[in-house]
Amino acid sequence: MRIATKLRVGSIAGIVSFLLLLLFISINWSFFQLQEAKRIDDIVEKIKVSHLIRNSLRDQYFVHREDRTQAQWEKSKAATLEYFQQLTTDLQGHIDSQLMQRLQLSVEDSTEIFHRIVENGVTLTAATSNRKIYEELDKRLASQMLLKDAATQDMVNVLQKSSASKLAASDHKLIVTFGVSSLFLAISITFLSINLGRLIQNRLSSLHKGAQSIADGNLDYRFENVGADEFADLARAFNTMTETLLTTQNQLQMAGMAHQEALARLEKIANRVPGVVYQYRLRPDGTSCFPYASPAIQDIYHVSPEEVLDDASKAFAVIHPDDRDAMRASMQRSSHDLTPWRHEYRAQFSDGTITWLLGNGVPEREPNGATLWHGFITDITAQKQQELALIAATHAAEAANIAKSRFLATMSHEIRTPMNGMLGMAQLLLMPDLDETQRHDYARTILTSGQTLLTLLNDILDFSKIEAGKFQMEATPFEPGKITQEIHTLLSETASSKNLAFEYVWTGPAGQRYLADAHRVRQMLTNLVVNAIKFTAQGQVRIEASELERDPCSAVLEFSVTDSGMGIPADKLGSLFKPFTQSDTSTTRRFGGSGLGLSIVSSIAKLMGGEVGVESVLGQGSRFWFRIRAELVAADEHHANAHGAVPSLTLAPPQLRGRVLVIEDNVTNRMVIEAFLVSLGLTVTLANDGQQGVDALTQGSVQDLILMDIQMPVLDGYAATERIRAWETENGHPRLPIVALTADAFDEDRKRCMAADMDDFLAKPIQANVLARTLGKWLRTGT
Amino acid sequence: MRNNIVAVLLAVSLASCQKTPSENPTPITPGPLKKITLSYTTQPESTLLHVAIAKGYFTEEGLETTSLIAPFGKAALQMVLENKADFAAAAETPFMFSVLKGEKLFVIANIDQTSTNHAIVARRDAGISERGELAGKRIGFTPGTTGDFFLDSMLTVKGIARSDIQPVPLKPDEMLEAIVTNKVDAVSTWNYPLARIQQQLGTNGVLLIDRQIYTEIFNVMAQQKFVQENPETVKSFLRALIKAESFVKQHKDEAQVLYSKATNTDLNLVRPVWGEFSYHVNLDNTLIITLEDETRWAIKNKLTDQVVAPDYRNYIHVDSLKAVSPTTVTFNH
Repeated sequence: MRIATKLRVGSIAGIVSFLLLLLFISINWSFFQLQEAKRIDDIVEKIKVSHLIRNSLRDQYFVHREDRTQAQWEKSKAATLEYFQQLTTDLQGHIDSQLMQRLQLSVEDSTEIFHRIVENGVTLTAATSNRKIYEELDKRLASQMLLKDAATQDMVNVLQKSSASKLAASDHKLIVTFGVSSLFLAISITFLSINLGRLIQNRLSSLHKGAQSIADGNLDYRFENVGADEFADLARAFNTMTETLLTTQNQLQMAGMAHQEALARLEKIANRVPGVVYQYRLRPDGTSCFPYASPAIQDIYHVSPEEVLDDASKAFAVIHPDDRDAMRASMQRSSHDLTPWRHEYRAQFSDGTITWLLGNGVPEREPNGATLWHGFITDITAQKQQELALIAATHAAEAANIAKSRFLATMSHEIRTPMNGMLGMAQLLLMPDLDETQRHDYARTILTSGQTLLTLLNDILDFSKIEAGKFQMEATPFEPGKITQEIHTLLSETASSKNLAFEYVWTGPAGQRYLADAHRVRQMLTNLVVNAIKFTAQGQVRIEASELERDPCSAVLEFSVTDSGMGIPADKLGSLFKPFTQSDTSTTRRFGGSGLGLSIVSSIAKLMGGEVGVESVLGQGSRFWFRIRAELVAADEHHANAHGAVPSLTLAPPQLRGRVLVIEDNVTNRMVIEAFLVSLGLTVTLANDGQQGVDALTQGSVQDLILMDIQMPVLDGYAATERIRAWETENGHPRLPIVALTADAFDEDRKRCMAADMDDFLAKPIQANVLARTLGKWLRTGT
Repeated sequence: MRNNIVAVLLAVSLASCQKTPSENPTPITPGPLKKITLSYTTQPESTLLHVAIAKGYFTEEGLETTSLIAPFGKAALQMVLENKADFAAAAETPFMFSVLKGEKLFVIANIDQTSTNHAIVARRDAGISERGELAGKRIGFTPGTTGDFFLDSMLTVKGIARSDIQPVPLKPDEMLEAIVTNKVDAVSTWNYPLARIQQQLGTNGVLLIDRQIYTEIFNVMAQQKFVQENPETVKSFLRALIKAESFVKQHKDEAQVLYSKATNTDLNLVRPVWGEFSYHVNLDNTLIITLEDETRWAIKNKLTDQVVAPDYRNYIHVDSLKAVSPTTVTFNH
């Protein structure tokens, strides 16, 4: 459309709109005026009727002079005044105000005159003279009233004609306005329709042709430049739109590719994530399906996505029967509340395999009432196993903790029992007038109690070393037969005290010697025998050693102890060799023991390439055994076995000669050591700490040996040794043997002492024979 | 097409602006002017005649007028009765007396109506402060005029008989001098003598008025013969008066000035009483009621030889006015 055309049409449309608006306003105004005119006409009609009624009442009054008529006249007059009021206030501007003033005045005058007629009537009735005058006045007033009423009537007529005229004019105006509006509207619409229609039709025709071509897919179509009007703009817009369509088409193709890539990526993700990505639909009728499931469903449920596309029952068939109800309930909850579903459950397959699965899903309600979850299911078997293992470990740790607590209680008991014996006997020893037998018995009891404590302590130390992986083995040649004999000898007194038959046997080759840690073998076997004697009330205890198998270099030896004791329940056998356990805690209370012994035996046996075991029949007895692998020793090797000697508690200490400097901070220990040394025939000098010891030497005290405690105040054993060695070097003194005497009884303590340039090592508590043997190595033996 | 639309729009505009048909078309009168003689007063009741002459409405209606100014209405009517004038302007009382005397007259229109133009002005020093005190007093009046009837009405209201006062017949222009010089105690009269007397007496004057006891109806009248022989002249005469009425209503101030100049009356005298008059060319029932009332009074007081009231409907001509302005005729003939 050309600009001029646009302007023309726009102008016409504007004018038409403006005129329509004016006509609309005019119609409304006309209608309003018509309403007002009708209202005026109505009121005027009422005034007229009221006036006629009043005239009639007036005439009636003139004839009958009745008060009732007067009252009715007054009422009618009041109504008339009310109508006047309506006209003059509500419809001001629509009526002739001067006429209304005159009309009102006329009615008021009429009213006044009427009142005067009534008043004169009263006067006339009462008058005795001048009656004619009052009669004349009555007539005169009546005439005036008629005159006023006639004038009123005339004015009312004028008013009515005026209002009727206005009504007719308003009516006419409204009709004319309506007619003109309709005509104008029709002409306007016709004109605009014809003009615009023709104009638009011509231009649209060409646009239609081009648009049809574009619609047919010819995006290369372009409208020719057809002018500068709006249709040309539209054509250009079409061209631009076509360009845009072409661009959009290309973009859509690219977007489609991107979409495909995104889909592929999503599919890849769905296929690669550990677990199955799914959509699961629970239909209102209770059936279900997987509208989508990634291929991993094959791994999770051993079904293909296609198999569960319409019916999920195959997938559910693999859910562990024990878990189905819980799973169904969880899904129903999720469906009902539309809350995310998360549930752990098991799948059980035909080959017996059970896997743990974790399902996740977010539900939504579908229009038909079905519930659709979007989520994934992962195999959490590994995590679940770890979790179960962790639970088991926790339980074990808790059990171990309980066992340790029990062990501590047991230890407390085990320590207190011999301690009680030692302290009690010591007090008895202090009593006066003891005979030799009593003194000996008391001392013996103290010794036994002390040894018991020492054994307990050694067990704990061993266990500690084993636990810490620091248990060291020292291979020495031994003969199993001799070890069994030694132990039998050692414990025969104990066994006989319980009237037990006690025997031993070596079934292996006679005289065959083996290389292993004989000390530990002895320790293990002692442990088993002590236990057997301890738990056997009657009957026998039998020690048996045998060679189970051998190869050219080594053999497997078995040491067993068989008793006729109480036996062990079968369900307790598994825990016998675990630390801090006894088959029955009550046995601890009855028989004592740390509960570590069998654990140590088991550990040492394993360290020696062997194993332990037990067979037991409750009430009939048990057979404990351990096996070790030992190298075979040729007949000419290691005839001597220094460590294999059976310690004899009954041997009298050897007598030594020399001076010994004892550096010990503990008064009791100093006393014990001094007593032992004096009993060995040695001269003793005491120093309270390392510094005092060093001072004594440097100040000229002549000694043959030093017994050096390690942990001391002021100057510890290591530093004191260092100073002494330095002093010796500086002053050209011969090297004094320094023997460590310490409660630090571990091997590493011994090694450290050696490294500190000491010469030997003694562990507390002091055993007289060990002390004598050790000192004997460094001092001259007395005769 | 555009031109067509404009044409339609113009047609619409004209149609919407079209007035309703006029009720008062003015006929164009060809030919020479009709000569007529008018007798009227300088009283305010004659205002429409003064205005019509001053504004040339008679000329517009094809009438060439000659004015005969009378001192009061009765005198003006007398000129018609004496065939000195074609039309007279006078109140209903002289008309009544003329009819009672047998004169063949026609009232052709009322031109004014008022209930407040008449009053009794009394001297306070004569002991009059209200109308009851008129008894025994010397009261001036013009016999056979509205003033005569008004006085009677005022006395009647108070039960005072004519015999109870000292009536003093006076011409209107004699009244001022009579009351100022204390020849009378009061006068019953109309404007402008009334206003002038009030001014002259000042605070000594007492105005006794009762608008509910009397209504003066001022009319234009002519010999019946003249009316019957000159119907168009009568219509032209009435049209001119209607024009004057319209002018007076729309241009009150200008009308007052015109009147003041025409009657040589001080404008300050004109304005205060202007509102007492209702200038309206019409014919209604008030005239006949008043005429009958006054006739009864005249007969009763033997002011006439007649003993029966005539049928005044035969003395009121409605056809001309009805032809010229139908809506203004409400007289039930």
